[in-house]
Amino acid sequence: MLQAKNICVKFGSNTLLNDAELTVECGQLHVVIGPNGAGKSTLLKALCDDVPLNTGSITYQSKCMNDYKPTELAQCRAVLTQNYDCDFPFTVQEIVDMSHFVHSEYVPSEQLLSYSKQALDTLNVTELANKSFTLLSGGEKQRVQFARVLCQLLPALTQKKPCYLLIDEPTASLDLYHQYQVMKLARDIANQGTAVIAVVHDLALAASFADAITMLEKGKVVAMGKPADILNRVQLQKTYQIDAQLSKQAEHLPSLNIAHTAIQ
Amino acid sequence: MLALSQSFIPVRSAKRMLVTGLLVVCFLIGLISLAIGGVDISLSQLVDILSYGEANSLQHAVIWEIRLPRLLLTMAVGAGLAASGAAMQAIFRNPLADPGLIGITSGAALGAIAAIVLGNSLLSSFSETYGIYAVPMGAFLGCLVICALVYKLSSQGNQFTIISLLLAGIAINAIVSAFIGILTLISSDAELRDLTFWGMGSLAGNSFKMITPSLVIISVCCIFFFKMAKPLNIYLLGEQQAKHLGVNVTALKKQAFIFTALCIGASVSLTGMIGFVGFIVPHIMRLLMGPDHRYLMPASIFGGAILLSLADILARTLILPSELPIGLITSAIGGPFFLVMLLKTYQSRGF
Repeated sequence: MLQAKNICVKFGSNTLLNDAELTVECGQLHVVIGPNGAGKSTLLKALCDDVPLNTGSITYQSKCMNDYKPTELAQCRAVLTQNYDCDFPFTVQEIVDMSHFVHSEYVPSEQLLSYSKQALDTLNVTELANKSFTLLSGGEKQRVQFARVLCQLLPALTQKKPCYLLIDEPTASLDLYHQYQVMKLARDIANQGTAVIAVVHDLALAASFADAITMLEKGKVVAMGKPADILNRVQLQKTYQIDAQLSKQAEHLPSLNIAHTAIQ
Repeated sequence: MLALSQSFIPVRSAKRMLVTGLLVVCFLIGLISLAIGGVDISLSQLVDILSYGEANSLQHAVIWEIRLPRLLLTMAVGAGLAASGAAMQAIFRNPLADPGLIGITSGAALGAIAAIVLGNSLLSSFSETYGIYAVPMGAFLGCLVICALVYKLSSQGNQFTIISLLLAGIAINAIVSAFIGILTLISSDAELRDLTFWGMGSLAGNSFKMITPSLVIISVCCIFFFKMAKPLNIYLLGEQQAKHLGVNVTALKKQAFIFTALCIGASVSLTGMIGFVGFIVPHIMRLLMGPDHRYLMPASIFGGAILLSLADILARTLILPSELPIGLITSAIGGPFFLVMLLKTYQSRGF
């Protein structure tokens, strides 16, 4: 279980996160949504120690994040950030194999290679394995990086240990098919016992796959709960200033219906 | 899975072969370098002299007292410059980075020039204590002091950011060059000549006794650079990404900085400024075999040794009986190469 309590993050006089809370059980896909500048990415960065906390605490398995050795956390927690520029022409295979670093002492290398293969297959990037990462399209890069974080978790997942996956806008540069594929994959990883926290902009995507949603506004948690309860007309009007609601037809994933008077 | 890993074996084995090939070339160049020079020595004579030749002949003295220490120094310095160049390029995540960028070389220059200019006045006790070692010692100490300063300025708490390292380096570079200017201003004609030539680099006139400390330091640094290969690879993905993959990023940056400082200090203290080796060699090797430091590091080490040995052969044979400063030759090769790389980078980015 990943738990964040009363966390505040300030930069100078700017308060980016104000008393935010979050609890994610293993096996859950928890999506963080909110308008631009609400503090979604800051929350994710706080959870993986990329920004320092002013107050509050973050615990993994009831143990404070700062009490873990960095390698200990890297064995069971993977983070997919928004920026992953790399000017050096590593091949896709080499990028994915970098996730072996923390596992190389206790997992045999053939086993690690088979994890790489599995991760590449899962993300449909096996045929890119020998290509240079710098030559890929934005969407391909994103899927390769997802394969890398998946590969980082596979050793712990296979041993049924508690795992954590933090992803910041995994669908940002993906086409429609791959957006749903990646979210489905996040769902599958959660079903295997991982606590997945994803920052997502697309509310329909969030509603389609999330177990729970945390909605942020101006650094504060304004709503937390099941997608159907959170994404109602009143809440969307309040937070996004838009007249919209979720609709769900039989045998279809939820979509967002937006009133034609919503945008002036 | 098997098909995939099999397709990788040839690539990896090719890289391994290239590294081995470089080692062999390095050895051959060494032999050639020992044979070529003012006194002609045939290869068979060379083998005799190296294996048992007890004779008090001229050739024996030339090999054991002049050419062999010079060759070892050349190779060590070439290797050290190239390896620290590769490490700096990785730490800055920029293929154009160079140890000179963060004040490492200018610190050495200040120390050496201070020892040359002030050796008879302010620092006379220093130059008496160290005798012929005064200038190398001054350069090494200067390098360490300036690096310690840059290190101190760029680390706050447990932070050690690349941008603060770069800014501190630029500022220190400016301050150091002002001091060098002052020392140049008050130097006598003879000292001016000495410090000018120091700035152009020379591999001449070093005995075994003189080079041993540098050889040891450079070797140790190269071993550590090689050990850092895997974390350096991951570091190239980005600092945060590397941290999340389990690399202790701050420690890695500090180690790379410290070993670069030691390695450069040990190199330039004996030889003076030798430009561009640290920049060109990792570059060529990266073009040949990609950015994987597990192969790039040893390839740069051997490649640096080869390049500097070749440059040295040119330096001491082109205008016999005198010799060219080695720094002139490496800069004459390195300058145009740098421009070509720069233009290629611009073109590939579509400017």
